[in-house]
Amino acid sequence: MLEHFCECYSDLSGLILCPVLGSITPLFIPNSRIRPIRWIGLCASLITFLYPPVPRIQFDPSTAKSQFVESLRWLPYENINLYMGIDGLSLFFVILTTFLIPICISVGWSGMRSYGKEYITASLIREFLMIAVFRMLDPLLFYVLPESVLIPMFIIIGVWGSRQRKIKAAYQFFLYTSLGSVFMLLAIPLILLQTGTTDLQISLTTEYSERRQIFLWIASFASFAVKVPMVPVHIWSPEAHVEAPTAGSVILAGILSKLGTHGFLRFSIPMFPEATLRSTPFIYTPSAIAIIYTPSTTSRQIDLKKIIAHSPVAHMNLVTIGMSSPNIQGIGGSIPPMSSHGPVPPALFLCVGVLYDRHKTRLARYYGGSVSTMPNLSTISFSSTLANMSSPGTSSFIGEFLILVGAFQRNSLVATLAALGMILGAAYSLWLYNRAVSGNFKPDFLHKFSDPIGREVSIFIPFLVGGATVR
Amino acid sequence: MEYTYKYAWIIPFVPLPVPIAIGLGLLLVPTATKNLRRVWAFPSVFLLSIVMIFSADLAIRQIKGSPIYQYGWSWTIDNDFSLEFGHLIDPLTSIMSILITTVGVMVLIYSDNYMSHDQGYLRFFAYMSFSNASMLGLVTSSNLIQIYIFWELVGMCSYLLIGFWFTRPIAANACQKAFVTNRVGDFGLLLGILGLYWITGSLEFRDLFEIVNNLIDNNNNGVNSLFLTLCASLLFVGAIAKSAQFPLHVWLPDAMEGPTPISALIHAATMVAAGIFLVARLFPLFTSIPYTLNLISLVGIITVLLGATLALAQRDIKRSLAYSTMSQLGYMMLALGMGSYRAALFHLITHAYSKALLFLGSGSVIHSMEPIVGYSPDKSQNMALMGGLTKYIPITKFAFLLGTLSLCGIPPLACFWSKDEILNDSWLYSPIFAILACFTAGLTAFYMFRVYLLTFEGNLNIHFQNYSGKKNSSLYSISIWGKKGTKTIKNLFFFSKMNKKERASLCSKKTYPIDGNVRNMMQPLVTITQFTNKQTLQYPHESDNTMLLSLLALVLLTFFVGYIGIPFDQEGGDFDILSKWLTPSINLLHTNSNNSLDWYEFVTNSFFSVSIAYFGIFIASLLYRPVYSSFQNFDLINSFVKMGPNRIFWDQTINVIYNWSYNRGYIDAFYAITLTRGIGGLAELTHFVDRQVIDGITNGVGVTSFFIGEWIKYIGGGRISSYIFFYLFYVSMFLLISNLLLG
Repeated sequence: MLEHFCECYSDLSGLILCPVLGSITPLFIPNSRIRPIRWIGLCASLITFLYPPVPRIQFDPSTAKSQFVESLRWLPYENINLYMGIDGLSLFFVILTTFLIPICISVGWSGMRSYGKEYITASLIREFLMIAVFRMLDPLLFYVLPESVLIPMFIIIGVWGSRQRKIKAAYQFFLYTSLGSVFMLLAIPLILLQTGTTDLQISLTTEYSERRQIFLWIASFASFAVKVPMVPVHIWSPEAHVEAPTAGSVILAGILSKLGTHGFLRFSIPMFPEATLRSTPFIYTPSAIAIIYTPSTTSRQIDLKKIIAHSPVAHMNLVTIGMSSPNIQGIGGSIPPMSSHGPVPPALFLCVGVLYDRHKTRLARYYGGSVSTMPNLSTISFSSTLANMSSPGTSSFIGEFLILVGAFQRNSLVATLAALGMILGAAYSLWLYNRAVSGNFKPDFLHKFSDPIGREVSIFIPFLVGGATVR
Repeated sequence: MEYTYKYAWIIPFVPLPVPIAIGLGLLLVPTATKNLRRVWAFPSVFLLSIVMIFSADLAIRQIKGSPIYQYGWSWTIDNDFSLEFGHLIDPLTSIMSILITTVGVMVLIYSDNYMSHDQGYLRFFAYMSFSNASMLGLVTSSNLIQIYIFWELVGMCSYLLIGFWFTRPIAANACQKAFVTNRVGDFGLLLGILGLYWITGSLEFRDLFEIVNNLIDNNNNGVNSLFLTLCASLLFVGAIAKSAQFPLHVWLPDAMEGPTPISALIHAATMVAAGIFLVARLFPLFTSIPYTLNLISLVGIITVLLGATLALAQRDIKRSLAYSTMSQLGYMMLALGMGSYRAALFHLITHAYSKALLFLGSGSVIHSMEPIVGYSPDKSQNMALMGGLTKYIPITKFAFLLGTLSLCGIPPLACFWSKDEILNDSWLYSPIFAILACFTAGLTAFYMFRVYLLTFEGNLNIHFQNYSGKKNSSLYSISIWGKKGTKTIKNLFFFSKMNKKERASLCSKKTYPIDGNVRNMMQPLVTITQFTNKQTLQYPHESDNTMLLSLLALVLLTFFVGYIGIPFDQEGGDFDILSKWLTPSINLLHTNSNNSLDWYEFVTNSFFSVSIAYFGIFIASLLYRPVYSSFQNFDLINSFVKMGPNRIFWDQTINVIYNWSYNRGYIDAFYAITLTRGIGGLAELTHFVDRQVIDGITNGVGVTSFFIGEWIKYIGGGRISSYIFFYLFYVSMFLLISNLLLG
């Protein structure tokens, strides 16, 4: 019966409409009435969260084609149309996005004292844009929409960030990302020139000459590599993660860092297979460097959040290693970490956020022995720490194992280095956990303490459940 | 009968409900769960006993000669690649599961009492049951990926249990050290698994062995076999870390920061045996690659010697036992490397029971010392403060003595049979190794008796001042403990005076746990009958019945477990159960498969090893015998002492050995300096690159663009002709570039 009910509901425009409406409505409510605004935002995001089960039930896993395709005429004379669809890959990300946004809104429930309305609006606009990105089947719009995500993100870091350095972080974030995307913009006219349309499904079937393929691959690589981020251009990522408010870091780590790898999987690899195959070393080398490099940077950090902020870099680079290994284990294995990595670092960021809310400091040396005052938080952060170092039984393990299996068959040295990152990852995650949680409580520094209760615990529960079910 | 096999997959899941229930209970209804408290001990013991019976049944079937059973279901990702999960029941599995469950049950019963006053009683049982579950999962795994998963889970449990008293920074550091060291091993294991998968395309044990054997038989090209050797050695790295073998042994002594039952279960009997188990499981693979076997035996012999020398001068009773564990694990590795599979497993069994007995005994000692000297491990586990405990805790003493004798290899006890077998086999393998192994057998006897004598003989040295042993003069090398007659007497006097002063404080210390909560708690097993405060104050008291019960059970096991592998035929019945158990397995050294030696040969062989053990005991008693009873051999000591010019040399030698041993062979310090500083330096470098180079480039671009802008604003000076010039220039450049690029 449920199936039948869903038949008439194959229209997925609600996924987009719902957050848009949710972001517009608060504009008509005066600033002083902050509670209804927050409830409207939360409800809108929750309704959006209830949407993805519809395509999930109706989803036909036997085909690799995009389903629920919708198109909107946009620039018909250039054959540029707005194509949207969902396949197995984007379904993951849509669910992830809709899952994280309500959490972000409730994290900022009482914390965002200034500009409460704008916060809700920015979050919902961000949600709508990201859902659109993941459903987009058009390279041009795939350039336009991720760039537009930058705007609300820039505002969130710049307005609600915690200290003065946030301005620098916001600039860095914006400039790096848009710089990378410029190359993508160069590539799009070329695709249009060759195929006569920017429809992804058509351009996938087009044969490009090898030289052109390499040029296009480099252009798209430059764009996605900044977003992943790969090593020489990674500097914006820890900076932005640290300076953003907790909700911003959650989205940055949970979703925005997947835009790059999603782009690789959606565009670079299927459209330019030969170029990808030939350029494997160019992906392997920076990724392997990043896997060793970022964890070793963390071991000298003193800021709790900065330590965690390096973990998305290392994990996403493992994913790029996996997807450039030309075998089923590698590419197949690179998808589960992307989805599992959605909840894991956000959970850690939330833990730090809870600590920061309590004590207003993020310096590791002030913390210690939190377990005696906050047993619930310690349990939660222990499980997320385990997941962060991908120990078996957590959602990250299976994907990372598959990636290593795949990479080993292509290049055993890279696999060795990637596995070495495992030790370093364990070292810094445990170091962080041990510093914050065990040892003696330091009453000289920390006065007030209370375990997470009510709202905060209920925020964490979906993460634990999500972490368990995501595989 | 097939049912037992079919449902064997349930083994690792049986103990699991307890941690789940406790965890949920603590999260949802904390107060109610905490009030139930000792009720939780019952289900954990009960469930583990079920597994014990189950695995006993499996073992009996295996002894009777049932076939190896394997079952798996696969989780297919693609046609080329599937992950299989299943269980494998063979003699090795049954041995290990019996070992885990019997020791586990004993330790659980014991720790019900040991931990009864601890805040984290529930947490303790949750962790314990979880670690039992993951350990059982490890031994029933049928493929490498499953092994890896449980391997990591066991490591995680060990982390949690070592850091059980996480508020103490030492414990927090110790658990971190243990986990990271084990992670290094896991890294090797993972790479080994990946490499083997690459070579063979399978993770299933039997397919793996078959394919590898075929590979070795068929082609002999150098690269492939080199790679295979490398992979096998990497797999062995995992075993090195888990079983605390030479380069990665540093975590084991620190792991003693956990509660004593943990040390008995995890760090003596089961978890450290996981490495031995892995090597035993992959034995068919290793046998086909002789280099790896040589490596294993080399690592084994180094560990044997290192562990024994490091155990010589430890002050902490548990640390010296830990080093002894390391040394004994080295014996097992050595045996595996030599190819005597049976001897290694035999020693695994006997050592597990003896060492569990010793650890539980030391736990009982610590328990009795704690109220007197204070609740810091620095004091309560310090052997310098012990001595003369025979009077106060006779049953513990009896149990501990038996364990010590067994570990020394004194005939009727368990370890004698197995150690003797390893020593015999080592003569067949290589004389040098054999000499080292025999020498270490003497050392074992020496340090074990040192522990025993310092703890149970002589007088109580509670007020021994320099217990942390910072002083390091030549006088204070070995002879000081137990030989300060005058001081002890003074101490006793002092003690009696002190007691009156301290009574009030001690009283309050002792009585706080005995509130209504603990008193009226439900005691599922044995009720505590006597709990007299007065006795507690003045003397160490004997532990409670629950603890003694498990001690005695282990004493029985220590007595009789050796008989399953006695290598000669008795009249009438065939007594050698172990050989029957392991029939399908391989024994490289005794190729004629006739394990039964004749009586005469056996006596001559064992006479040698027993005499070495007695020699070690003799030396130990010479050095550590308490002062009042050592007047008999006073002359002998004098003759030793008055060796004239050799005296200084002798002292120096002792000092060197002592310092080497006390400072853990300087290996920890070496690691601390090289690795920590290395990583710190690397971090500084990367941070520098991040800040200065990468950020510097960006900022440089920013600054440059500022200057360019400053410069370029003069260009827009309003002259139409220059505008046109620039416009044309740009267009032509663009056309040129696009022509070049796009062809």
